[in-house]
Amino acid sequence: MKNPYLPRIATIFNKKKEDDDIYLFTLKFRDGTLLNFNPGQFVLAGIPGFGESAFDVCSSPSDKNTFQICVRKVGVNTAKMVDLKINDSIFVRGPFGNGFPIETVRKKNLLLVGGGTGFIVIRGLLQCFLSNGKTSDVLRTSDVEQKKKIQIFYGARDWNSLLFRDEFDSWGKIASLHLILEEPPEMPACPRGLITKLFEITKIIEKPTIIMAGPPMMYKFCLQEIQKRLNVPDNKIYLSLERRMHCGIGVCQHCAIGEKYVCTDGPVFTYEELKKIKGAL
Amino acid sequence: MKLIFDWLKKNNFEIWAHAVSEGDLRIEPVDNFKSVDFSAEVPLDSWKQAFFPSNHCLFEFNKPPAKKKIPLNPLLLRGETGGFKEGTKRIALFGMRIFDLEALQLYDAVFARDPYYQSRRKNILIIGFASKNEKKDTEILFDKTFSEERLSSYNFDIFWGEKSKRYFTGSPKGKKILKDLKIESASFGAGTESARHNSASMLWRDYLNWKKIIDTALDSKIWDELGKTCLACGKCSIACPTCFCFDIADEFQPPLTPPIPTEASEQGGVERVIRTRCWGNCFYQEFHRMAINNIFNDNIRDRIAFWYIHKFVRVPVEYKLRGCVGCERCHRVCPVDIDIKKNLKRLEKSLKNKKRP
Repeated sequence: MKNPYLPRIATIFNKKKEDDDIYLFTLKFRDGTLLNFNPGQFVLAGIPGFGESAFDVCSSPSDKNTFQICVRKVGVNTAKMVDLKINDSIFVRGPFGNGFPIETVRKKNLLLVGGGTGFIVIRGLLQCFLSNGKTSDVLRTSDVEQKKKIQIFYGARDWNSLLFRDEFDSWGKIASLHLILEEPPEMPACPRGLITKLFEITKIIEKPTIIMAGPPMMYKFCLQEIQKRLNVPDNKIYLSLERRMHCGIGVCQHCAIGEKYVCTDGPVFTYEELKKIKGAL
Repeated sequence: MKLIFDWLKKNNFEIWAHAVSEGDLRIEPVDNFKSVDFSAEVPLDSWKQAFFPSNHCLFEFNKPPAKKKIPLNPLLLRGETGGFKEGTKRIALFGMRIFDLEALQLYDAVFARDPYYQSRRKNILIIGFASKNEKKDTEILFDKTFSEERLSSYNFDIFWGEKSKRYFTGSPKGKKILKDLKIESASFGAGTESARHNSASMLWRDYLNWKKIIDTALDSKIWDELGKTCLACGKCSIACPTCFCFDIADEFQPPLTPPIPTEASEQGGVERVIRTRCWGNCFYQEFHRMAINNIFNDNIRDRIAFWYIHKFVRVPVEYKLRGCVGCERCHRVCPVDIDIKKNLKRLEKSLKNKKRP
């Protein structure tokens, strides 16, 4: 019988600072095994003695040998993790959950909405779209170039809290990026406000499928904007949820919402599914 | 039953049974047959401690040997994650009542692919018992009485029906024991199979009715009221035979004080880390807390509702089994007299009133 609680040891291949207390880790399993994940899936990772926390995998699945997670220092485990150095080890279980339905969204016009650290999972999706068609069995670059349009809404507090800033140019190849900040700098010019304002001031692509990731408050107000301004069916709005998780396999009940589990039924849900569940959003 | 008890003792089984301890009826390991309680009363705690201990080790992380020059952060321990050890202790659950067998059936389903549970479970012998003094409850959900058709759907080894004075066997192991003891075992009556089907579908229909009530009454004011009454002490969830939520937590050996290790672990004082699984309690805020955005089930009202949703909605949807077996332990241990039977009735009534024009 397979033991679902045993972690694999991953070595830190690279560590990059994204913001104060937020680091992007590139990991590689020490035993040579691969992660084999879909964008939107998550792993449980941590350091013995400090428990495990859930992280969205935010690299492209076509990078077979390594994978990336973005760690923000918010608790005991993550505080220890961000102190680690290259070649240190992290213990990882997973991948868990269902990712984004890549096959369904690959040919659709996409509006990607990310707020704060929620943007980490959107970045995973973008990396997947950007990855070279030759090695990716998930999405071919040609699909992106020829048929569909991608629009990105990214809201954050200030310029420094925008993650992955050095990747903005590369995203420009496949998508149009719209930023909004609560406290914008003088340069570069950037609108001031909350992410909901982007729905007001931006001409949104036709017939979008919407993918959102961010805090529950953002979902609440963005959904209001979507319902007010856009005619998008509820089953074409995807949201990635965050909950406390312990087992990752739908047993421990920590991440239960209504009759579903965020770990095994999600973490990506359609709004159609979530609107029926009291307290999910 | 005395013969079986003696056989179990002779064969070095640890025997758990209903027994009076400090004035309360409990479930605990017993030494002699005389201390076993055979009344129709429900004990305060459940059997789950025997097959799902409140705290058990999943595996250990050991410190790397000093001479191995692995580039590790000083606080990081090398995990030789060998996994679970096979349980060797044999336990007999002596005198499980019919509703507790139903709870065990749920556990068997929930942990069907759990190596720790399975390695323990295969060393557990189930000796069921129905007292002749059992009284039928008018409410199907809370009926705790034995019937052959009910028994025939559950997992057990031996079962003694005191009223009909018959032994039933539910496994080759149980058959063999009775054979060795020259006790005659009854087979289920000819009509049991169809009766089982009827009884199971009756229980199930009744349960689906409660599921529908919980599903549709989530906005009821009764929850607000319960939220104000409930102390969130979590005793109901500890006593409940079907509650199986758990936490995974790490322990340092030797233990460190304060519990959050700082200096000592970095100076190499820690020999090993034990990853444990322990009973969780959804009545505690900590159960739902995330490092950031702790806004889910942040009040007692929502946590009580969470408990009911688990029992009456999530479990039946996922396992096609009942998540409440009607033992009413939760009511008996509740310090503020929250009565599940009454609450369900009130929720049902509130829906009926709402529907009326």
